[in-house]
Amino acid sequence: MPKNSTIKIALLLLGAIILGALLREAMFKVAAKKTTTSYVPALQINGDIKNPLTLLDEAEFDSVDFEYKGERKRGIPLASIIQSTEPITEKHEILFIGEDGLSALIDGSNLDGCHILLSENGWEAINLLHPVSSNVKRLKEIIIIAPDAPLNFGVNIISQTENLAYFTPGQLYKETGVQMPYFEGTSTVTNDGGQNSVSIFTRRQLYPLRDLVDFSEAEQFVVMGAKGETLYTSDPGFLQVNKNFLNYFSLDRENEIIENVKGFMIAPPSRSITDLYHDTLHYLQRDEKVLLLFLDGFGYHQYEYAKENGYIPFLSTLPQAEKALSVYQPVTNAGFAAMITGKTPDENGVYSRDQMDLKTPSIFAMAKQLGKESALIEGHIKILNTEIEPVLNIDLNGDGKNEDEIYSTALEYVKDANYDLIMVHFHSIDDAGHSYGDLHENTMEQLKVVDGYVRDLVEAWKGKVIILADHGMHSTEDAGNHGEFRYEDLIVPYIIAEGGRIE
Amino acid sequence: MKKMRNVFILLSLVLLLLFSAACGSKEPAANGDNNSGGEEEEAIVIAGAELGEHKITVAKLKEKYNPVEEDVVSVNSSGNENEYSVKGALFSEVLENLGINQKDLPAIRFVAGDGYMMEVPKEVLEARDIILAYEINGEPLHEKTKPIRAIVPGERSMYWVRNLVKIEILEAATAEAVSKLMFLESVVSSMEEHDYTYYESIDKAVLCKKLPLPEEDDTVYLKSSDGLDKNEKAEVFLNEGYIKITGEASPAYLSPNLPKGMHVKELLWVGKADVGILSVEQGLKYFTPVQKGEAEGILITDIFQEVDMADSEKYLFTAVDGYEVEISKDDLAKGVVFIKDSGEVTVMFDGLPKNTTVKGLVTITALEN
Repeated sequence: MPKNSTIKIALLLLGAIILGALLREAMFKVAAKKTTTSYVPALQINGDIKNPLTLLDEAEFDSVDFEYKGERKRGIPLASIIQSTEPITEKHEILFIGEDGLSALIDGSNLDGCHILLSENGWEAINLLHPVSSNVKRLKEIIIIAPDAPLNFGVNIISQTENLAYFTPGQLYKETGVQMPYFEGTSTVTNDGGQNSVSIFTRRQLYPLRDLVDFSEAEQFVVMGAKGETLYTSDPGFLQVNKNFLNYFSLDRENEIIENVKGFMIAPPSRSITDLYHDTLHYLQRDEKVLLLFLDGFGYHQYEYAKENGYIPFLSTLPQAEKALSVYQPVTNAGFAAMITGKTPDENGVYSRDQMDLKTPSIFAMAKQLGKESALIEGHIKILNTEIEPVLNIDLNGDGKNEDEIYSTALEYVKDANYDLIMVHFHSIDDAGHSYGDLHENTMEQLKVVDGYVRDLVEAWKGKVIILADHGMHSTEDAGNHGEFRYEDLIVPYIIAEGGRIE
Repeated sequence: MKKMRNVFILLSLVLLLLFSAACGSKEPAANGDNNSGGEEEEAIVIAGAELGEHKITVAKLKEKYNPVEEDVVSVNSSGNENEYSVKGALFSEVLENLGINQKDLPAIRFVAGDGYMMEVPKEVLEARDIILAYEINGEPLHEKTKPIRAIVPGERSMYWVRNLVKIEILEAATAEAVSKLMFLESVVSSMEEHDYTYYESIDKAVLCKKLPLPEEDDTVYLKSSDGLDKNEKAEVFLNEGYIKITGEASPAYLSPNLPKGMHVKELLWVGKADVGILSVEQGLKYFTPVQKGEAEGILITDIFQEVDMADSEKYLFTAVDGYEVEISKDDLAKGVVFIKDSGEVTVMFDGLPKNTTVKGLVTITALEN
């Protein structure tokens, strides 16, 4: 190889090494620059909304130019931020909360001229058409408050006969709360110098239930969560806002928490619809036959009204119904599952209309273990997957209902001495309640029809009879509904009687 | 042409060096990284006093347990949130395979390879899933996060331990041993009895708040002779409860103010803090009985194991009339508890003098060593 070529290649290599090293250094600088960030405070948008939001960057929304005090400014229209969070009601209020606690409440119906911008004052609200005191600097949170939110969104506080108070996450911000340190845990690091531990606390804003409603007389309460968690307690505890839902919190009992709490009942009845399983098992173990008459959508207040007004002549001859507590969510799947398993929805796995499979054995499995023959007689749709196949009934005579077919089938089974346990599910009271309302005359007339079916079945049965409902029904603007934590939906009648003709 | 070739060589070399610069960068490339040790070697250890040490490789976790995939949100100490998509095995399933129920554990401790330790209390173990994650955001774990990252959805990120190498089961750490064991039949013999309507019969019951239980501890442990057990809030147990002592299903914890699902029939024993109260009648169903003369009895050692009696060199056996006998630890295996025809709870020790027999036995106390 010629000498000058070798020198050229050596020079080229040297040049490449120097260039490469320079470029590499430059890359690290770029990388280093990329990791250097300035502190941007987070702005939380929470409350009565579907999508809670944490705003860290103005670029997440389109900004607009506007003029304020003779200066040109650029900010995000508040309306577009609020819209993205999907408030649960059209009518709402907006609460601006600053880092120093300064808060300003405005009506959310007109957000023209309202802007949110990031400035030397942190996040800042500038509301051109509202009083200047609504312009909160160093904003920490924006809370959307829905005064007329649907009951299922927040927590309902009720007694056996009254819906006492209702709070959404947004509405709680207007109430008096307390700040309490909550112990999160201790972590430890082992190093050459020994062990170093750190205890972690969070300061939590809690709302004592005792301050929200006066229930000084009551000694016992029951708390229910969205997944059917059920806690009997004599300590009222606290509510805590978690973005767009509420938690129940007890400091006394090992910091017990029910996430997404739905309701709190003062002085609940001692009976629960879960008693059905235990009572039935008790009688079966004593070799007594049991007929379970499951009247779908029949609340205790409907029972009382119907009894007072003569719509249930046969039920009125039986012992006075006891009040029994249904479960959350008071809908057929969850109530039915709780009745036949003796367990609350968080344990049996059925907490809404979306579940059909039981996680715990039902009374039908227990009957089988005892060598007893069971039957479940229902409408045309299977509601739960239980250990026995239901006997389904369609509208054979084309009268638009299958309740009469359920009755006819049930009567055949009741007269068949081979069955020790029969459960009959009548659903027409629920259907009428939905169509007309809980106390509507048409609903009461349907109740009268079912009362006649019940009479015939009870009179034909030799053994114990338990009559109860899965849930109740409440009035709506145009008819009736259920599924909310309210006394009309949760308190149902529970009757234990003897079969046979009453002389 | 030669010039072009030189420029080409120069460019190639520059690109080569740039490539090597990028590879040598100390910035983490991504969450995913190539395996250095291999999944066969990467493992975590699950350790406990009774369990010993069980090593589980990551490969085994993937192969043996159903993978769970979940979108999770971690909240760090400053309240900031990060979203991840994680894939891993459920710790509860791994425990199940070892014959352990996660919800029964009093506490566990996560130990990371760098010495970080985090204790996970019972409340978290009862309420949460723990995912032993081997993939985050669709990629294998980063070298510093391997072999496993604990993910506890719903809990703060201090529980989400990276570089998890060991999970210790704290069996004895928080469970309180019983130092005073009482016998229900003797305890209720001196208590006021109340009528209790149970279906068609009127039985006798005593008030739970009158039982000789200590004030400490917010929880009461209840176990039935069919093996079912539960924890009850002390306030509910004491304010509302009765122990029905006659009739069907007795002894039974129940209350006219509570749903029947909260009742405990055929109660074997009740525990609060360091005191336990045991029913001999139900014990005869639960334990393997031994013949004692004409009566059937229960071995003291079986009872001690069930209630986790405090370890001591000597135990004091006391009768309702105040008669006391001290028995050494070594002689416990000779002891049998039974109910005499007269209804008295009695303990006898085979091979020990007759005066060690205690009739009307009410308490066994572990004496301080």
